[in-house]
Amino acid sequence: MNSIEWIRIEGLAKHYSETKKITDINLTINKPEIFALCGGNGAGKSTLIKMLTGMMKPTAGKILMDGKVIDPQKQGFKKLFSYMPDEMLFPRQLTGLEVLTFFARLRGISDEKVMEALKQVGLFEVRNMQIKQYSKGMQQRLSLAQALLPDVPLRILDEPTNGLDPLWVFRFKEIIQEEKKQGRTILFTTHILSLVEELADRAAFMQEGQLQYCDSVTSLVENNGVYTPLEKVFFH
Amino acid sequence: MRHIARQQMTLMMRSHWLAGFGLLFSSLAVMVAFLGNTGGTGFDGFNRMTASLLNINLLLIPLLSLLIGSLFLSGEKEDRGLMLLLTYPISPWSVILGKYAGLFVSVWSVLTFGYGAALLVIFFAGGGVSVSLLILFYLYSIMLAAIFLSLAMMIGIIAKTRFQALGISLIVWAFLVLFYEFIIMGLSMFLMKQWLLPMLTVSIFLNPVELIRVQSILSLDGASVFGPRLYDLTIWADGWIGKTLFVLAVLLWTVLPVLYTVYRTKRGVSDE
Repeated sequence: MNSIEWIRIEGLAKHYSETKKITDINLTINKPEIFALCGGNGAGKSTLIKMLTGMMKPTAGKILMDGKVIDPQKQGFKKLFSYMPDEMLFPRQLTGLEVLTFFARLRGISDEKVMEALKQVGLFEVRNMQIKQYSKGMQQRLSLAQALLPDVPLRILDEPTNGLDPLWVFRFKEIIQEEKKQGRTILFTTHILSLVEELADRAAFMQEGQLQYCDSVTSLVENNGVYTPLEKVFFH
Repeated sequence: MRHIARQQMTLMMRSHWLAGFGLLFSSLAVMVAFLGNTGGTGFDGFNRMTASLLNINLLLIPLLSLLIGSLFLSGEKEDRGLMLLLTYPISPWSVILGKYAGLFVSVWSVLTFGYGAALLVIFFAGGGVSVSLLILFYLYSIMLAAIFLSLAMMIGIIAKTRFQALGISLIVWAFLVLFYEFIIMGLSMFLMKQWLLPMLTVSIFLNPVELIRVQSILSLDGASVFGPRLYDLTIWADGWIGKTLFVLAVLLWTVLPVLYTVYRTKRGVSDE
């Protein structure tokens, strides 16, 4: 499936202080593709995601979709994506099913789809268990199920594999590849470079609030020497 | 908004906070009703029982509304639930009003249960009950909860953590419930006599606790407790202008903090 340019981020910036800021982010996201946003802790990945999802207003810059400037805080754009936050903590006194049903109702999604999403992330059997009995990995899978619920063209996942065991990291990769086959764009943040090499079509590297590289994963690896892992790009 | 309100109610009904509040409020209301009625005074006019019930309302309802509301909202912010909700195609208005409605209905149910229990005790203990007065008293309690839940939402959105929300709530409560009247008394000593009455009038509107306290006492025909020097004030407050301003003040105290909460939410909860 050929991908076409879809979302363009131009000069996006967020200024907290002289030492804490994100400056001049320029990148494009295609449809469909799997796009990885990489960087170490505090590189600015989550801040960029927050600006893209309308949770945070940028200090400067704009976001364009199909060539038109969009306001991520407007409902029109919010209908086009689903979001999985980093380290989400659901209310402990609710069950997994209650949590997912609530999020489904907010988008008018049927109960059948809720059950399907629970099965997809392996939580169907424990759906009536309270969240306080869920492990970190199970909560992470519930958060993923919440993001997989709506039929939207873009899924934004912030550190989706945090807390997942190897089996569920493997299942996650399968799910994401299936999502791409269905024509969706998946934008995810991570600091696990092997995941980027295996899963992503393109990747962007951030450091200290600035975009260092943005290219196809193949080019990034090749330009830094044949068979050189992405670690070299990261440490460079 | 309906789904958010319902979800908030479910969370509240399963929380230990609300259960604790319900138990404390109901048992105190029943105790006051039982002990206060020993002389058969009943719930009719400004007497020992109504004064005690008024004090419980003015101490407990602000405290628990502030704690419950601010801790829930700041907690949800801390756990990223609020941020996630704001990425959904729902307006910040619906999110905040839904949460407010859910909190309000939960606290209202607890108050209704507490009042119901107290009424039963008064009824079986043989005290006289003025139904209209009791309904008025109950309405004042609901107004107090509505105002303080609104303030709690504002504190919840300002605070970065649950602990900060707890601290701010306790400071606001202590200021409005405990220290405010001493501050006003202190100020009155430095004012000229002709400025005393306007200052006291304004001070009532600047504090929702005093607002409800004064109106409750006036409704119970207890204006004499204010003393002869404040006779003019009680006449004015009990008249139509006073009552209209009272309703307006309650509305403003309820609406403005919620409006600010929506404004802060629109600006972006993760901006801090």
